[in-house]
Amino acid sequence: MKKGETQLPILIVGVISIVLLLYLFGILSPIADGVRALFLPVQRANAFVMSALGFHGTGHNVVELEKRAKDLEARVSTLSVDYVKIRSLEEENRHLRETAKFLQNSTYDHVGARVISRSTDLRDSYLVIDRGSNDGLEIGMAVVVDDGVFIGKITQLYSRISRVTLVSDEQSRVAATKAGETKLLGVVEGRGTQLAQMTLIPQNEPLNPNDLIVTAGIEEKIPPNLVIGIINRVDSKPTDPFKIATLEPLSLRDRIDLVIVLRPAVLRPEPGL
Amino acid sequence: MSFQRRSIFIAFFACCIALYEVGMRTFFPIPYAYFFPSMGIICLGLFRRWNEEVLIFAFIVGCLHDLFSFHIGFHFVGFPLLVIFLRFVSLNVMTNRSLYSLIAMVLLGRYCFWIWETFWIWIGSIVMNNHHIYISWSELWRRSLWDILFVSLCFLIPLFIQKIFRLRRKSMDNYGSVF
Repeated sequence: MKKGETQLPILIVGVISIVLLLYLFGILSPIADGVRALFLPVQRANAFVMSALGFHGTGHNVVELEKRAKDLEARVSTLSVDYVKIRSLEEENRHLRETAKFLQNSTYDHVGARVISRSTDLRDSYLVIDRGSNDGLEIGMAVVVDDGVFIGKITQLYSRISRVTLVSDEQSRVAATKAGETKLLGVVEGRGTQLAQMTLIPQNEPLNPNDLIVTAGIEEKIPPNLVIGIINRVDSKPTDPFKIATLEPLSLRDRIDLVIVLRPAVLRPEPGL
Repeated sequence: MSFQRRSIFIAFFACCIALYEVGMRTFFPIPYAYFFPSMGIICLGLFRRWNEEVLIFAFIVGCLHDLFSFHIGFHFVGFPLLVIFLRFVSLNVMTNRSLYSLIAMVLLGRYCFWIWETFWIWIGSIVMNNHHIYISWSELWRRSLWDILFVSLCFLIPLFIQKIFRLRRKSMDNYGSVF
């Protein structure tokens, strides 16, 4: 073996040992943040290019997605008709106005972010966004897409990037209720597929397919009335204390390129600071 | 080209590959999202006996994987260790430098690295209570198929080019041996 060849492995092992030590003592974090900041523009550009080229991620092909989108659109239309029948026109208008203007009416500030990476495994549904603690984000904050549909919450963050765990992830849990109600109805749990499950619904609560499910707002950083999805099926046995419902999230994870993170207004940085 | 210049080129190349793997790759639909070129490049590099270059490449790719992932992986240790292990295997176990031995090497690398990743995800879930999903068998064999395809193409295309443009001496066999 040549002299140079023996020296390099020793050098690499030395560098790795030093990096490991620095990592264990937490000295490496500012350097890691610096390197991340260096590469973040490249990641953003990559994500932009991929979105522009029509690549949005995994799981479905375009034909299947279009079919699903049409199906959802049809169901939303049916839902709207049902609402007209059930509620008065005035109440419905108020609700729609509230949904459309939830950002202005709520006490929540918002931060826009671009998706720079995403999971390729449906069981582990997450997105990586290009905003982090430097932008005022915190763990547990709600993430919505531009029309106000709740897609998940922040579960891990660095100074410049964060991980958003989606509603359909196996580890996701969100307190939820029916649209138009204020009390907690159940918990929306991910199933590791495109679907989610609403559990712990009391037997005496009426719940039907095509009911709209929204956030309950009992979690500190998640505002109420953010649309999560539509009930697909309700499973109920008279002997069980709770009902279970299958929920179809309204956001297609394969189509998410830009998201909005909601943060309580009290966390908004003061001007001039 | 001097070693320093080569190192800069390799560092740039490693950054491109790593950024593709942690970002762009995830935007492709399945099964294209399972294509991780770094393992194939490492094996091809070792096959060509570019040992030092491969070590640098592995270290940089590992660092970037760690920087953009949210679970403990110690990829910056794992990748160079894998290079050292594969080099040991190629020196002591592999009997020839055929396409089959290259495929065997890349599969060995892929499965060893899967063990490394699974081990650290498991440690992370115990020590730090992080619930990250283990890489499934279905994903693993799909990654392996991409590895086989990638190294086979990288092995065969230069051979065909050399054959077509008659860059290879007639007395050489397909693996570069003179007879």
